[in-house]
Amino acid sequence: MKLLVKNKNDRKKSNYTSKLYELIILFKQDINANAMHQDIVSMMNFIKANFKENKLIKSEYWGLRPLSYNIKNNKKAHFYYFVLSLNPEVLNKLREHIKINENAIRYLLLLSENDEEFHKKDSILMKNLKSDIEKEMGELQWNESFICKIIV
Amino acid sequence: MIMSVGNETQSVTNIEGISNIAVDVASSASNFNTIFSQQNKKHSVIKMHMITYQNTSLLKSLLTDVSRKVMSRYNSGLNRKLQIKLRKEVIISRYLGLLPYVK
Repeated sequence: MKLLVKNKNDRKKSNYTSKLYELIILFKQDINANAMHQDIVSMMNFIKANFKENKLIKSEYWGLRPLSYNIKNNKKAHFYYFVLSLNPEVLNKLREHIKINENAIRYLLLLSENDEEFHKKDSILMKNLKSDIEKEMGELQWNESFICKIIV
Repeated sequence: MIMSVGNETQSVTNIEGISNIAVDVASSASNFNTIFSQQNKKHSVIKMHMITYQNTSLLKSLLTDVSRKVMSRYNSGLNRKLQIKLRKEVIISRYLGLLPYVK
């Protein structure tokens, strides 16, 4: 009978499993769609290159929304929302990758409280956006985020 | 509106600067405390999954009108658990620019 005694560092590495994270990125108001598209594709390729476990679950485009205070002389910003299952070793690399990009004004990375099945539906802000458009336009005339079609 | 000056009476018409709206503001201020009071627990409908940083229309109703601070538990009528979560979610949405720090 053998007793395998592991150090604290070894135990961490063995128990590393992928977790769900929510990532929100704000882009400049005066940005081209092509430049914004290239930034996102490079970010997704960067995530896939490091670990095979990482994958994208959901991506939403919340549109060009007005900010309640100026951020780096921008009154408005493009909001992007991602749900990712990441290995936690990637996080510090991913933060550095976003900081280098000049077009991204601000970003936030959160541990999600909900399961994967919860994220298959639309988020709460997306539901409110669609309901506001239905009230005004009568019918739903919403272009789905072009990122979803290209990346997935 | 009728004003009595001595024995005489004068009928005052609507004049710019003097309007009946000023009277309504005082009455609405008293209603504000009754709506958001602990007795009328209007916000007891709110559940845990509804309080997120994305649901800005709900979070705005739980901020004060004067300085956009988080309402106290006496005025909001929430649980202890919900009030702690509300504080966390307001900080996140302020960082993203969805809610203001100061009005």
